Amino acid sequence: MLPLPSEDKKVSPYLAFYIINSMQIGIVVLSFERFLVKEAGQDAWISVLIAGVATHIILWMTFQITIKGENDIAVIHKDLFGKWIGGLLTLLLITYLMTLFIMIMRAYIDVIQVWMFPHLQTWYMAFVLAILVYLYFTGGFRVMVGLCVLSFMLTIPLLMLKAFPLKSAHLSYLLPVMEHSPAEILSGAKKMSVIFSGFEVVLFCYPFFKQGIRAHKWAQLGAAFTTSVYLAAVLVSLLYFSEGQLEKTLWPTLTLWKIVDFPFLERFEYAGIAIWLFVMLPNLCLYIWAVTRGLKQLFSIKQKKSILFLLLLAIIASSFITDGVQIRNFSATIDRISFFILFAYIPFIYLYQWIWQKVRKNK
Amino acid sequence: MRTFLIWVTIAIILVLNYNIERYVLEDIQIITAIGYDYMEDDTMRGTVAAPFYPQGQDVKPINASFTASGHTIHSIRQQFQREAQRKLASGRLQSILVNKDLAERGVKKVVDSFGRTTFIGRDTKLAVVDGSTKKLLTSNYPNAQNLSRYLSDLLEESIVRMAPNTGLHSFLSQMEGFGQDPFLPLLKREHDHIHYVGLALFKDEKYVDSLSFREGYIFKMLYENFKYGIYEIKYKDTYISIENLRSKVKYNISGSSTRPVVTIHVSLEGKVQDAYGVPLHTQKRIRKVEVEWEKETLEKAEKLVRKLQDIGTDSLGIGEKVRSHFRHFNKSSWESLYPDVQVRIKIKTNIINTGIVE
Repeated sequence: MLPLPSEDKKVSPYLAFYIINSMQIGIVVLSFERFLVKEAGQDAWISVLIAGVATHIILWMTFQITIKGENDIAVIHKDLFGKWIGGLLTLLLITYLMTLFIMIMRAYIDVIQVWMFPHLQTWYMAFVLAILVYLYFTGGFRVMVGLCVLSFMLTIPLLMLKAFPLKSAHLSYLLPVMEHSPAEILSGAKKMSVIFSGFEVVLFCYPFFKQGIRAHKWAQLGAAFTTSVYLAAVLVSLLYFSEGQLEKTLWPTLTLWKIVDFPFLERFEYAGIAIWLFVMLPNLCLYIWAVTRGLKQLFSIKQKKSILFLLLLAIIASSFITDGVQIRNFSATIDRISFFILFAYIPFIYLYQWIWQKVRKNK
Repeated sequence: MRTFLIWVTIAIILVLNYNIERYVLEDIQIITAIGYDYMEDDTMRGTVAAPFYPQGQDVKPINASFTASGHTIHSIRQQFQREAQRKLASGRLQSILVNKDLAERGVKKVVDSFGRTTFIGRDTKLAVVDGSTKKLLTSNYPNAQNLSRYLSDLLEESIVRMAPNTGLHSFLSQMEGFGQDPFLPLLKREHDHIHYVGLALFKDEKYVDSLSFREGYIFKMLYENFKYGIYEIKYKDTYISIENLRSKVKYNISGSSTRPVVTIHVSLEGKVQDAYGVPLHTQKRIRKVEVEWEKETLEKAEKLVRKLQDIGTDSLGIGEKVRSHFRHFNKSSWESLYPDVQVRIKIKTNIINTGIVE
């Protein structure tokens, strides 16, 4: 068990807003509408709202776990389940975060390969990204949080671009509201709730907040902002594409950017993909940071050593995923695991910890 | 020293493995317009206009074109490359033309390819050509120096005042969406000019019929709000032309989901431009012209809707509007329902002024 980080390594509580928001917004914003529309059709936006509310509850539980445990999840696991089972759970959790890292990296490379450079080799781009992640990583946790702020600043102007497609919006595509059965809307919400994942990283970075309890409020605000971003994204896509078309479009947001037409820039999507690097870079950095932090807690491996191994692993793993169908299957599998982690594992730990603390008090 | 060596190795790996295809402006030839003609069975003939910019200062582009035939868009594209001096690039493709014969047999194989590729924009203009697209794309036009510029300006700037705005996106979304059928401008090469003939109507992916220029204008009035163009009406024994200042359209759906009633409310605001021999100095006389205008437009609009229903193409997107009105609308029965749906048209006209003379 490590000592808690020293004061100069911590960040202010309000930065939780940026961390949560930028972790939740990632590569999947470009493609999420399709899954939703397959389930809930034009009522997909209701699914987003429901999933948003569910996210607030799970985020609250996540913070309760860490606030009560007063440390990161590795230590809480050890307290609750002992050295071996607790250690195993931590190992599983960081394996999950590592898979997320590989998935995000591969998905972004896929976007570049499909949209910009079909000749780009996967390992080459993975290598470039790995170097970039490494450079930010060596800057430390505070630098990565700075990157989150930067990513937030870049998301806002990209969102404004949603106004362009609205010129050819059809309001009738949204009507009638609640055409789909509650079951369909809920299954859309299930798909969506996974897309809101990313805040699990709090389980690892909680000790790095000055006054962690105050960070909770900001984190909730961040999650609310994320929900509104996704809501705007899904509404614009629904208004712009006909339903049959949206189900077929793999990256609706990128296709929307094709409409954006500045006098000086005919095809915005190329600029958009490049800017998007900064939106998903914090995701990559913080996920791998959480993994190395977990490994340090478990095996006392230096973070700067383990990251080299992990990045190599990520480069090799991502070059084994060769085509788009594999990527989509891979991400569908991860989505199932994410759903389990968010809606079974976190509530379970929360309840278990609650009971465990009650029992201990009574002793 | 060791870290230095590591970074040098990394740099070497990155430099040596860089193999992304480059498009340098001086070394490529940009395709700006492309046309497809029907040949036989499943063969198409593609023609591209790719203006060639010779070296030197203040040079004017030369109209260059390539023609080849094949089964798919991209195999045809490779054929063009066999003759081209430079690498052909399609990033600034602005107009896609389809020959009427090909359109009659379905355009999905053309638009699917353009909807799938990332290399062209989404607001690329599509049009149907009566006659050969090869002829249209290889002719010289005395009124324009650069053919592809002429074509794209015609589609983007000129005819939007008379025809509804269309493009690759609207075509794809109408083709794949429920209760709407696509339509495109119909062009023809005539007297050394490219001529806008009217609207080509599609049933799903197949061309079925066309609307004349005048019908196309009424169609635009029923399809979207707009504010350009001229209405010409016959008034007593002379003609009056009224400039359209504002035209608004609104759809109301009533009835039941098995017997829907569609009411189209159109409100027109205009300004009298030509009124030779018609004194328009009293409110009453202007009112008379308004009534006549209303009557004529209504007649034309009803005829147009009747025509669309008879040929079974829902170009106005009535199906989509009906679907959005009724909860759990039965989509499968719409096809048979459409020709007999009751469509009422209500037109309100208003002449705002008559110019600077009475």
